Amino acid sequence: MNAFQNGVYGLSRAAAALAALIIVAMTLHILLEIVLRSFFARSTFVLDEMVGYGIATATFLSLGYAFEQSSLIRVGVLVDRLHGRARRTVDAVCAVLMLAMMGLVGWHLGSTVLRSFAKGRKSSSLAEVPLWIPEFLCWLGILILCLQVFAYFCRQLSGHPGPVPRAIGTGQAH
Amino acid sequence: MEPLAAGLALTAFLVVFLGLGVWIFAGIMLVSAAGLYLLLGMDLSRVGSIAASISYRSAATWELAAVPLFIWMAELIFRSDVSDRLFRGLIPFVDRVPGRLLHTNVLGCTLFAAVCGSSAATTATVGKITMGELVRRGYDQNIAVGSLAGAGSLGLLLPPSIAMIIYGVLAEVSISRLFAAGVMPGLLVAGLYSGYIVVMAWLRPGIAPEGASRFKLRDYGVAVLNLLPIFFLMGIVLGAIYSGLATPSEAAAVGVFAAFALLTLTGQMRFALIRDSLMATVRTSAMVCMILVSASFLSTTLGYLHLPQELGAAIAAMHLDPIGLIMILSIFYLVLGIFVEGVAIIVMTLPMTLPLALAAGFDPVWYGVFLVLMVEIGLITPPLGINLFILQGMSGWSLWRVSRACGPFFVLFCLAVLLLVMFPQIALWLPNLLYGKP
Repeated sequence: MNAFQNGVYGLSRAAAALAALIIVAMTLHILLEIVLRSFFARSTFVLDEMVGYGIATATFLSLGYAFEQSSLIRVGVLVDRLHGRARRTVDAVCAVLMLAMMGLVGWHLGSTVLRSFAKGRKSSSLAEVPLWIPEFLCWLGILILCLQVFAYFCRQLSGHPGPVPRAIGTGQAH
Repeated sequence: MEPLAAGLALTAFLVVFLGLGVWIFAGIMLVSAAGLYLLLGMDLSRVGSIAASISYRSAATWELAAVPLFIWMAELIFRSDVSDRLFRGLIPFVDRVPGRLLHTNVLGCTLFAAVCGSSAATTATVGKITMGELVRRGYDQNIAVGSLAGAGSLGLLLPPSIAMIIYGVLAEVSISRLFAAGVMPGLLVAGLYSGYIVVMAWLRPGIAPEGASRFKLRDYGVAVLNLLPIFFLMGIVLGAIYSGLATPSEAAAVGVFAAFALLTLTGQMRFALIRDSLMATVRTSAMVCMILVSASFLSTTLGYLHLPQELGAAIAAMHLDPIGLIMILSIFYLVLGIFVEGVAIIVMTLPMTLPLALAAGFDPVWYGVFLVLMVEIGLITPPLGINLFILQGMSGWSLWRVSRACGPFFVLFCLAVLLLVMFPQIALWLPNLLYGKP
């Protein structure tokens, strides 16, 4: 159980670290574009496209980590009043609902990735980015989120403490 | 399906899923999927393929990049000594004003909001220093907490603002105009807060202790030096936007650059600081962006159900005057603000309320400011208000006690909304002056 929990959380953290690097790259690309445009009257021509991939992949790749850190907010009207078994039951139901939804999205995004890969679809811009790359990274993020939610679900059943101390309330962990 | 019944069914799904405690973005997506599946009878594979393509496409909106970048900038500043300097720099200037250092909350948040695009970050960064100092120096704790919560939410109204970027993207309104439109209302709210503190200090002199020292010219000099970092950041971010060097969405990257420059120049740059700030950034940014993604899915579902048009027609048939409509919307947002949080409110309701407001003849820029004000009120209404959570953590009080301390500031916020409705020029004067009438 511990190995599974820690393994999934390690995966989430690795994906979040990748998301962090993507954010750094996005920042640098935007700054480069500003400098080129302002001082050299030139452009990289692909800023919108690259930053678009960046924000999508960074968002999805951070999901598992944000979930485990209790940063994904929820309404606490009910759950904050419950304790022990009742709380764990409601949390487990919420986890199943989330898994169902993200599973559905993940399944269909996965088939989009396969289609883009099989047909060799590329973006219509100068960069001609193979579309399966950003799509795959987003899909990977959803997969990791699902794994993390599943690990959370298992903890609700077993009462096992998670790798991250629970933040109080439903707010962001600061 | 009858539009009214469909609307009620969706609302019921929303109450059940969010009330149960499903994470907000997943709850909104479930409502949207349930709408397509149950109300329109689509099969599950079509629902899934719509959900997947909308999620991916809406996440890849490049203007959204401003969200993580503004958060990163704030996380960098949060870990620096900027807020400590801000507090010390403001002391000599507010010491003679009745209520004395209580004004550091309002002024500090106003200045910081002009650098940072998020309310949570503004509250956390300014409060990091002021909360402890004000309590230690014997100021009234209720006013200290309330004014911080209230003024902290100015982060959304004063440019740059994540909420306005999001509204601009969704409503297809110029973000520069929105930024300009937020300035006067933001200063109005800050003015109301400071005025309230002054009045309270006259009525109950006990809320602020007596001044201890007289300030010499040299003290003012030191204070100005302490305020330099914040003005440096503000100058770079707002300068980049208004000189046309960077678009409002790109200005966030300039802000990150400015924060790095400041940290390096003042010798505070550490690898651990960069790493921690980035990991905190991806957490918060994933939360905000995913709520936006889920909202695009919801608005797609609403579109399939023809709800916005039907609701618009129904309300138009009621022959409400614009003021009546805005009153209804205000009450709607106040109630919603009790349960739902910040950007989620904007994205969930915009597809429904924007067409109504436009049909009633409201300016989309004005409506954006109105909406952001309503969202800010939601930040300080229990049980779900980010600013309340942050203050709860800082003060160690119960949520209820923090909320009560925010009460007067909640009323002042409502007053600001009333003034904005009565005098739309408060919002529209500056953008019209800068960019001409639309």
